[in-house]
Amino acid sequence: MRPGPTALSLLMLGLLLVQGAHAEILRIATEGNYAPFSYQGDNGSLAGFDVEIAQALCQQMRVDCEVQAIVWDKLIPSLESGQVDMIVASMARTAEREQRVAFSDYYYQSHSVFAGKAGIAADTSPGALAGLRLAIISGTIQADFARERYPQSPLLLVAHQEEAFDMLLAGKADLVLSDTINLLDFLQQPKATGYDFIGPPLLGDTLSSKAHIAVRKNDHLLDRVNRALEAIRLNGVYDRINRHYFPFSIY
Amino acid sequence: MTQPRPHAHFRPRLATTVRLGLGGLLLLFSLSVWLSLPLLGGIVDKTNQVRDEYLPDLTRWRYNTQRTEQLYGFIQTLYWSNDSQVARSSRLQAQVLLDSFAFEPSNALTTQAAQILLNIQTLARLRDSQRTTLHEVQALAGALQRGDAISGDGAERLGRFAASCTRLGLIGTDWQALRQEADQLQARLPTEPAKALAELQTRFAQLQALETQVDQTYRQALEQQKHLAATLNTDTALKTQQIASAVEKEANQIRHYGLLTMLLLGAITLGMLYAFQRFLLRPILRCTQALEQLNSKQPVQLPERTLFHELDTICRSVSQYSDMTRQLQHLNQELMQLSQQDGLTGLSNRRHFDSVLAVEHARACRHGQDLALILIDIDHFKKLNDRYGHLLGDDCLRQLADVLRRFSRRPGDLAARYGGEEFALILPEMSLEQSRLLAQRVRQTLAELVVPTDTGEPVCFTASLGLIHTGRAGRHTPESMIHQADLALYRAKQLGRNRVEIAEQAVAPT
Repeated sequence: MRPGPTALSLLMLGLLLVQGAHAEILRIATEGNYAPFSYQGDNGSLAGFDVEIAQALCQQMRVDCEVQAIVWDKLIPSLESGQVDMIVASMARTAEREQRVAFSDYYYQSHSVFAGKAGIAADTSPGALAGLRLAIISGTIQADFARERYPQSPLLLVAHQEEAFDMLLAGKADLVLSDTINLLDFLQQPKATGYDFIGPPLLGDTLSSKAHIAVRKNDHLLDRVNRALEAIRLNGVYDRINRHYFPFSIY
Repeated sequence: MTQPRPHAHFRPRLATTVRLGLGGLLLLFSLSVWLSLPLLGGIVDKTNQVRDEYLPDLTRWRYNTQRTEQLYGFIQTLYWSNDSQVARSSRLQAQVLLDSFAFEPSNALTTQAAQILLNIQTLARLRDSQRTTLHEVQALAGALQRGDAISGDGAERLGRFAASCTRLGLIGTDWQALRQEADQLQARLPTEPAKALAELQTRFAQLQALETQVDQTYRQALEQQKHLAATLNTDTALKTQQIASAVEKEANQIRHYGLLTMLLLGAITLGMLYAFQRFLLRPILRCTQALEQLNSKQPVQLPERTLFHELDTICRSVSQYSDMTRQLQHLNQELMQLSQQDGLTGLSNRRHFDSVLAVEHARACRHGQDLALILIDIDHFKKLNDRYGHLLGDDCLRQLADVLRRFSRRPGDLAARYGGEEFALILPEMSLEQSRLLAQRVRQTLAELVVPTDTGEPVCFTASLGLIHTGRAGRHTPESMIHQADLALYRAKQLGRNRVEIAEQAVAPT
């Protein structure tokens, strides 16, 4: 029998309670609306790959933690203001972000790709996509990439990924540019029948394919996170979480 | 002011050299540490580099291999699944998985992945159109089944056929067999249902054609998947080989440095041992040898000059000491001779005569041997002196001494000046007859001597001799022997001089 994400969360929570002697409580932020990395579970609590990785890291570091969902644009400001201590939200490392926060080693890698109605475009050249409306979360590397590479395509910036999918399904947008695993999750749903990946994965210097954990600059937490990350990769915890969410390894 | 040195050689101080040597060793040690630390650091860095360079590759290859194995599952699902949703999900997952190969640096991998993706997409599309056609087949069959127009003997059979067609699945259906069955039915049917059946026939033909393509694509996809897996496995093996050789290279480097360090240390140790032996131990041993040789009769072999100042000082002191000792020994010998010699004649003096007589007497007593003693006195020596002077007297004494020396050549014989003009001969192991004859010959030789004066005048002199011979010396003491000989001499003087008188023959004949 395979334990569900909730059962796993409860198990970890239990373990955390057993080790409750530690006073340190780590506040972790994730996006919360980015399946299957972070989303609202059936019982209303946060679930997803990012959430479980965050909890596994806390357990490895022997600290209590609180995971909360924060809208993408506010993630880095809330880390800077001290409202949270750590961001586990499939964040790519960019030069711009690196000036504000410190990044851990990567914890998974993926790539960006378009999704839309099957056959809407023959290829993904700027010419072929001219005039097509692109729905992308604002402040992401994908948004920056689209602005630069597809100036002829109207950009519809949204706050949440779900919003982008809703616009696509409602016909208000033609294409969604996002992480391939996130899109896979969407495309596998019955409502997305008739929609598909459009074109090959996008190769671009600014489109980093690796997700990192962010902490405040000069925070000793960074070393601990890196060590914990290595530990959970070695002791099988990472693999278990990976298997739970994806049919193949995404490290 | 510097002391003039006998040799202008380089002579460092031992203490300074030892300090310098220790300092040098310390320096060498520090140098080797200083040199080896960056070297070891470099090796560590290189090892890290190897790890950073190859391990991520290995990890990626491992994951890629896993993904390729999963690809097999996706292809199977696509081929075998009746459910379009399941098939779609598999196709999407396979696409995400294969897209990840687009980021591989290896072109061959990317191309192979793209080909597999193409085949998978084709396979999915073919299966989808099969599903669409199958839906049409099911719709047509449904209509046929419900249709009342059918009558006649074939009606029941057609109804059964149509019913079975509505339940058709995509997987495991023999389209060829269906077509044959439809053909048989068609022959017996009236026009209207036959037309509907013909439409079914067309669909079956389409499905069969698609099935052939599906099989072909499926086999191709599997073939390519196998090929990709083989490529990845080969590359992983190659990568492992590369890591192994890189690690081996590092290990060899470490071994070389280790060997070099050990050789260097060995060489330094050998050099120090040699220097210790050559410059410290050998001079000290030579000095000790030289000191030991001082006591023996062998000539002293002086230690050679040595490198170190202190040792050189010691060696020179030993050399000087041995020189001094030799001089002292020589002087001692001279002094001893002087203490036993008579200055004028060079014969033994009275003191030496006494001790030798005592020794010879004791030896004769011990062994029961003969011992003869002759006392010789120049006749009228005082007159000779008075007449020709003391110098001539001395000449006479010297001539007489020469004669005595000639007659006392055997080992053990001793000629001595006993008193002023009185001499003595000690003759051990000589018979009475022999000693008497010897005494006579001495007397005769003396009488024939001619001593010239300053003016050339020849002077002759004679001497009287008193002999004592004893075969059993125990009856005498040295003193009594002298006394008896003296008595015999006195008698010779009494009896006219220039003659030999023998004691005991007259005094105590036995």
